[in-house]
Amino acid sequence: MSYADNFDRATGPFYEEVADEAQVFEAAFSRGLPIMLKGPTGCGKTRLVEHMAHRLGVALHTVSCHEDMTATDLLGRYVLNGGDTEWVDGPLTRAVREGGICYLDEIVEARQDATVAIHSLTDHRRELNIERLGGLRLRAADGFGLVVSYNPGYQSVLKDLKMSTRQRMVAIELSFPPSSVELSILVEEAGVDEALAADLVRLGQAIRRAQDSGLREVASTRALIMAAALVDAGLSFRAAALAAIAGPLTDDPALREALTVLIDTFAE
Amino acid sequence: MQEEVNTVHEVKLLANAVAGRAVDLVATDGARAWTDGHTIFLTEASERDRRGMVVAQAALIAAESFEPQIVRRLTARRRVRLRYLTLEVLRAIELLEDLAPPAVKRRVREAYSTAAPRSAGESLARASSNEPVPEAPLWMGTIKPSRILRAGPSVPETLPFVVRIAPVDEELDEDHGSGTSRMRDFLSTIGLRPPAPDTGKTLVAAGQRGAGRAGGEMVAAGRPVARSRTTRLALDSLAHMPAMLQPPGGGHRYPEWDWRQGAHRKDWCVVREHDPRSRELVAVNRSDDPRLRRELARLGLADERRRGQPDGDSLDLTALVDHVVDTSTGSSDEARVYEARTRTSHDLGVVVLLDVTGSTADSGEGAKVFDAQREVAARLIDALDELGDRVAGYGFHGWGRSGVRFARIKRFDDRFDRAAQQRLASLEPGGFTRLGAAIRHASHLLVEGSGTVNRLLVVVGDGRPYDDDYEHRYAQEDSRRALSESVLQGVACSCVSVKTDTDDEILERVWGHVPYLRLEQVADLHREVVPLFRRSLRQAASAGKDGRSTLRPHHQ
Repeated sequence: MSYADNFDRATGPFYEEVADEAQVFEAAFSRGLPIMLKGPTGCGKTRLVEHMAHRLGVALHTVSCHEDMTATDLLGRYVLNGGDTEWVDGPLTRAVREGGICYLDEIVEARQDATVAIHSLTDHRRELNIERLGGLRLRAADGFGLVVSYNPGYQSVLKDLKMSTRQRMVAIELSFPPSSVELSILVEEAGVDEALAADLVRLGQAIRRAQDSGLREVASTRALIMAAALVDAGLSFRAAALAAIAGPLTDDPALREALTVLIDTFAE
Repeated sequence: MQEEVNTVHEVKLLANAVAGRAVDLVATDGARAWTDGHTIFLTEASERDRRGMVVAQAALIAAESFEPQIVRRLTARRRVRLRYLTLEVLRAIELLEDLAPPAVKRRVREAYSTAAPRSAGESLARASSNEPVPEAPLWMGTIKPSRILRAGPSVPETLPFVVRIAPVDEELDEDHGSGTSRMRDFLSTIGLRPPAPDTGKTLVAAGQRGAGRAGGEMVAAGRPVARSRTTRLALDSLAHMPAMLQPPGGGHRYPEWDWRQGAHRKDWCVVREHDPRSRELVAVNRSDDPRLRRELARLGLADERRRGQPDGDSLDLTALVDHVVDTSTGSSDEARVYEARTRTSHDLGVVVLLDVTGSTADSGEGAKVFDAQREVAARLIDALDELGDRVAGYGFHGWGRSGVRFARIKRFDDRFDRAAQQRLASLEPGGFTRLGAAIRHASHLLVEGSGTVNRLLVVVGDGRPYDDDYEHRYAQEDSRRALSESVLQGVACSCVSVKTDTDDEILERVWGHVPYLRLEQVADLHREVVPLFRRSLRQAASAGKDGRSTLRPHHQ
């Protein structure tokens, strides 16, 4: 079952609530407060945003941040059209004009000037300042919301999110869901039976529990869903777990061997 | 042999996952596997049985099956012991619920299908009753009460070298019966009382404070040399003692260079990390040194793309389009349309490794020297953290090759906040200097955790290696070798010492080939440190290309 099959008109993208995160999200959104989603890779940050955008009935403008992204990429730029130049809104400007959620995924990856561009939007002014359009000041439309995500433990991040940026946001901390919730996520997302889902959840929990293991990251919910999908597509449990969980987690042959033993023990 | 070691490493992740904490694994002879609560000793078996014994023994650790008062009652009662094991594995596996591998769970149930006991006490009662409990099958392993009692409680400890002595009745001990009493003798010889579990004392630190007591100065001086006949006797009979004082948990194994053999001793040293906990609140002042910060800002720079420059290597298209717009509207004709690479971005990962060993305090002004070196470490960490460099700080000391301890002051991802400053302030010098292993572990941390191209290891201390069976030429050659290996891996190495009296000959042998700085006072730090670090970084950068010949440790 693909993601598209899973898109139910009534509930939108599937998201299983763990605590009060949807409630906090809704409250913050209704008051126009920017939201910061924190959590490890693949724990459902993006899915929560998609789910909430649908639930609140607003458009979602997603920007995957990268290290070469500048304020221009968020705000908009002039492009050449024939002999003329034409202004094209960036995703942030568009969301501010039209309303809707602007979601900056992995914001720490963006350059500092891009991060600073959102500052005036995130306080009481709720205004976007576009210098390049002659200092145009856009007031955020109703139904505009700013959401950013980041992974606090991410190794390659040389710098933290600036305090002046963080302080402007409401934080929602996500982590991997408890096993019962993760089980129903696997059943729902990959369309597998409960027994297989339980086996995978058990394996995922074991990897997360192993301390001092040398792994930089642990098996994410997303990785478990992928493994479940592979089993559903006809692979054995062992092959699916190796391909979707062990392979992506490490290149170190010794660690891979250790993961293989772990998988074998749970696949037996 | 090598193969055996490998197979042990393979099951480590499984053991850690089931036990819920780091567990060591060792291959051993014998019919049945066993654990002392910290290490699982594995025997030859089929793949399936091997996994079974790892899970069973790790589950026992997770379920805390080894309460001393129960374990003591299992001594010399083989049948009860194996029946107890059956019940305890059953209890442990049930306790793990979803974390237990289903196949092993089934095997446990096959061995004995009954209601799981609710406590270790119930297991003991049922094992001693006439309930038809089968003895544990071979794959589950066994329980060795004497080893468990000797190894001490399985709760992870935080203080280095906490000596815990379980009150063992000698007649209950199966083998090496006199080990504990010897240890007790030894402790009283050096002026230590065997502490009660909750008032565990740092062995070496306590020895130092108690310098006035009998034999106390032996350890205070930071040297494992016995100064009196009694202590020498105690030391001789206790050659294996450091291993017995081991805190539980995993560890990083590193080789050591034996210059006489011209070869590495494989997996010779074990380095463990811990979080130091200050017993009382230490007042800390921030070690802010603006001049040092300004100097260090010039270090470890990397290229950064800058757009909209008046000159540069390539065109910045956004700026070019803007320029066309500006000139056609006549608002501006400044052509800042290039993109340039400038060396303005920081790319530097640093591990500051503070020598917290007794030898630092080994002089008339010992305490002052250590405080000065601590201040150097604090200033470096503070300045680098403030600059946004990736910096981590560790204190190291140890005793014996399997007892090298790293106190985490600040990991790469931590901020140098009050808690970290307090961790640094609470470190008290004690123990010995296994410099080679410390350098190897710090390099490993840099390579694995810094995520930067420029990597720098700064040892703050007197730079003199000294440990149990780690002296003179052997220690110096190993330390030298460890430094060379690090540099060849691209880790720049340097040493900063304050007011030390280390012999020039030792310094030359250990540090002769990497930059070394001897400071008279902390206030000079900002003046000297950047040229020092720059030389180190240059050396590491060129090592990969052509520096190899000059860096090879000399062979005899």
